[in-house]
Amino acid sequence: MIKVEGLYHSYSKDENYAVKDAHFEIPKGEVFGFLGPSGAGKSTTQGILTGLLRLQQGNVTVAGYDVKEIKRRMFNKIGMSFEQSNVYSKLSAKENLRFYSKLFDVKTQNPDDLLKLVGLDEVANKKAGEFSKGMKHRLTFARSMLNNPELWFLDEPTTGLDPSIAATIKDIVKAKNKEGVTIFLTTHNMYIADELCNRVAFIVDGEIKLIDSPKNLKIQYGESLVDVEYDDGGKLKKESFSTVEAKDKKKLQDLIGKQNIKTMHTKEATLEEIFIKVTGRELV
Amino acid sequence: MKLLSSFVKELKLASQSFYFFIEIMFAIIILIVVLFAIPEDFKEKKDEEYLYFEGPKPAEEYFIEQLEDLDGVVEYAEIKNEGEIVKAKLYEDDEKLFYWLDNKEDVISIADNKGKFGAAIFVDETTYETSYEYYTQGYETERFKNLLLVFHVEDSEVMRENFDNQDVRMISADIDVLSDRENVMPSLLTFNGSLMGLFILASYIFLDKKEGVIKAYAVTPSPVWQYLLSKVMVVTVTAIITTFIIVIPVLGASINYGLLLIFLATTGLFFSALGLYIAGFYEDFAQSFGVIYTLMIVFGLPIIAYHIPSWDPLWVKFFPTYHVVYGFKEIIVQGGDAGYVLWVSLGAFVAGTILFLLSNMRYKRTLSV
Repeated sequence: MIKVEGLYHSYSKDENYAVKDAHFEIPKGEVFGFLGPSGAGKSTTQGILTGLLRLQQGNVTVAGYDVKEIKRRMFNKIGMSFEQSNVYSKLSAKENLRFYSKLFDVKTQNPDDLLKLVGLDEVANKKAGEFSKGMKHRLTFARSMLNNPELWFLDEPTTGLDPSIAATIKDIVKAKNKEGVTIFLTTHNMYIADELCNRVAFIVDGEIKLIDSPKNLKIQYGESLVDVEYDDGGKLKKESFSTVEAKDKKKLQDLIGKQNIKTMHTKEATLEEIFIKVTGRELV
Repeated sequence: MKLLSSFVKELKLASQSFYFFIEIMFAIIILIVVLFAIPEDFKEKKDEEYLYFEGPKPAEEYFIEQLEDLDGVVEYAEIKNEGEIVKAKLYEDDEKLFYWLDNKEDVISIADNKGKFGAAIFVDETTYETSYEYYTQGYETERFKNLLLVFHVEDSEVMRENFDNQDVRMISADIDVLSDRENVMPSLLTFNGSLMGLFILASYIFLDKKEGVIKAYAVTPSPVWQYLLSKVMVVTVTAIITTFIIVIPVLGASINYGLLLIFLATTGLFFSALGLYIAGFYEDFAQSFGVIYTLMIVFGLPIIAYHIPSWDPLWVKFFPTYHVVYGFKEIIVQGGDAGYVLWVSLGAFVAGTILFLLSNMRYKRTLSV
């Protein structure tokens, strides 16, 4: 669905690249996470893929279209949810969606259905200017689904949302992906990436450092340990066991058989820890 | 269909915006000023001159006769000057009121206090030699001062004879003269319809940039030019509405509204496309303020030239507003030059289209993340 080869971009049109020699490919139906700290080149890459930025160097194909010469009809297949909410504040939520739906050449979703999906149905006729930040964000998110996109760009889709709304958004993303929608997720939130993405790319200083699935990364970079808390004669004790070494495996089996286990956790690495290990940078 | 949808949306947004109300209010203020503050003719109040005569009675009678009083009957007036009442004889012709005073000091004092023209005429009792003293304000032009001198080089009878013998022919006898109220309309309409259009369109673009909706539009299949054109259409429609708010009550059915509509649509396209193009180079109104303000001032210069016919340098004719002001004048004046109006309209259409195409290229290139 997306193919990027040797992508470079410089705002100053010199060697000071915001994106440097990026290569990646996203097959249809995948949720691809683009992870990196602020200023890493995430938004620049996404801007080029969505035609908001002119391609300077490299080959980029999006939904079967060469972005060197963007064809407007490409946007019938694409949905874009921006990090910064950008809706008409003087129009109601419904009017916003109704207006944008008329700009597509394909069948669009009913604005009422979309507003219901993101929990804005009760304020459908309220002006967007009166919305909270989270509500505007949901409206921006809903707008990106209007044209039933085959390829969906999500820029920090849960930023600034309370946990229950964020959970709803994540459920919608999962459901769309099940329908076959390819998703390009830009975020610095490792938990949402871990939960939603089939593969993730780590980008720092314009360079993609690594691309793999969260599962593989955890196996590769995580520690093979289990932390156990158990009751030892009224005293709470805590021990760690290797899941690889035979001696530790035996000990763990004995402990489970004899003692009253309170908690037991595998000590796998989080994506954030892996990111720091791989790039030497934090995700801020 | 997409263009229509964008246009309807823009119209809706405009009708709810602060700038739209500024335009409507501005048009209403102009209308009130034109109807109630600007007289039909500035010369409704006649100029006043204060005169003193010293000499033999027959000479005085001769001078009074030269004043060509409208009814030939002497009226008596009382003039308030520095808290005192000064009595005078009053004569009136088509353009002026002449106050004939009994002493020179009163003439000087009144000329000084009222800022009016005063004169004392002295005729010798025996030789009938005449001399004049003029009391001017000091700001009179050299031309005027020279004119006063010229009057005394030749005998006034000789000059009068020369004037009468001059052959004056009207080249265009069917040209109507605008009243003073009508005469201010072209400059007000230029400011209202054209310069405000430039300013308002830039403001609309900056509002959209602030809300980020241009980016949202850029990721739809609808071309950017339709978004831009819908803005231009809204600003042009607003210019037409506000112009009609002013024109209909003031000029009624005396002008060609079809011609006015063509003129407003094409000049509206030009100035809004210019505002569009300028706004493409800046992120917000604060950044662009210097350029837009300077442009509005510079484009206002032809309006000054219009009101001061003696100041009409060649370079001012290269500003588009020069032709817009005169275009409006030709529309308003009875028997005006419709050909000129159509030529200006064509020029505005061509230049506006070029600016619009340049703007489209600019916006397509600068929609950045």
